[in-house]
Amino acid sequence: MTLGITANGLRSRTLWLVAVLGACSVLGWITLDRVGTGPATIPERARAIADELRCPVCRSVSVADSTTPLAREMRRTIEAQLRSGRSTEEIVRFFTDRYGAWILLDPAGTGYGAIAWASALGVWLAAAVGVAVLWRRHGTPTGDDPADARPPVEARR
Amino acid sequence: VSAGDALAADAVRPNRLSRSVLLLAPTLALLLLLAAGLGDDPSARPAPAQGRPMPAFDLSRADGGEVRSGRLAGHVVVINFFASWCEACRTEAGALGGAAASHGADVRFLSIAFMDRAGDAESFHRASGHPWPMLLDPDDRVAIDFGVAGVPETYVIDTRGIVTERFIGPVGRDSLDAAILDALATGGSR
Repeated sequence: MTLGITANGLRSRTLWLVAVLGACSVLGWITLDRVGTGPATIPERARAIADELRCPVCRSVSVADSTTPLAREMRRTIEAQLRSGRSTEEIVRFFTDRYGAWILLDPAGTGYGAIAWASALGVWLAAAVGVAVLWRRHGTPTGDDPADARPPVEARR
Repeated sequence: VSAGDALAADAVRPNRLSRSVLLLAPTLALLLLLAAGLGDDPSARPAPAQGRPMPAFDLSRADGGEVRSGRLAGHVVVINFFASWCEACRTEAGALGGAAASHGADVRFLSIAFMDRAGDAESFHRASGHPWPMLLDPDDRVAIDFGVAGVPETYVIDTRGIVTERFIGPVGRDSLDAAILDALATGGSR
C-alpha cells in the first residue's frame, strides 16, 4: 500500500481543510444573518430595524434597547410604517433623512465609516496573509526536522 | 564570525527595518486617522433638515388652541425644543427672550416640549417669562421629524418655510440674531 504523503504534507492539508471549513462557516453565518431563516413577523422586522438605529438621546444604545420615550416612539413609528407596507430600506431612509447617517449604528460606507470598514477588512486580510505565511514556513521542509529528510513511505519500501 | 556572516547580517538588518516600517507606518497612519474621527461629533453636523422645508405639524398649545405649521408661511419662525429637566435650557432663556423682544412681530417664536411631562414643561415655560406659545408634542413625533437629538435645539425657518439654521445646545443671543436676520433677508418680502 502506498501513501506518498509526508508528515508536513498531511499537516498542510489538514490546515487547508480547517481553513476551508472555517471560511464556509463564516459565509454560512453571514448568509443566515443577511437573508434570514424565513419570513419574519412585523414585530420581528421592527426589532431588527430598531437594532440598526442609534437612540438619538442615548448615543451608544440602539433604539431597540433604549427605554427613553423618544426611542419608544421611534419603535412605534417603525412598526406603523411596516404595517403600512413600507420596506426596511424606506424606513431606514425615513430616519437617515431626519438625523443623517449618524443614526445608523453600523458605520456608513462613506467618510470615516469607509475607513472603519476598510480597516476591519485590512485587519482580516493581514491576519489571513500572516497565517498563510506561517503555514508556508511550517509546511515546507526545512531540513531541521530529521523526519523531513526521510523519503516518503513509498520510496522507503 | 566570518566576514561573510557579518556582511549577510548587515544585509538582513536594513531589510528587517524596512519591513517593520512598512508594517508600522500604515498602522500608525490608520490609528491617527481613526483617532481624529473620534473627536468628530456627527450629531453636531448640519441637520438634514437644514435647507429643506420645515416638517409639517399640527400641535396643541399648552394654553389652549393649536398651531399649524401651514399657517406660519410668510413669517420667520424660531422653534425651540426644550425640557423642564434640561439645565442648559435655563441658560438660553435670556437669549431667546431678548431676540423675541427685539424682532417683534417679524418673527414668530414657538417652544416645543421634548420628552417632558406637559405640566412640568408648562411651569418651566411660564417661569421663563416667554410670551410666545408653548406646544405639546406628546409622542415626540414632531421632534423626530426635525431630527432632534437632545435639548435644547433651536431651528430658524425663513419666510418661505425653509429651515435655514439649527442650533444645538444653548443658543447665544448674537448668533440667534444673525440667523434671524439671515432668514429675514433670504426669505424675501412677505
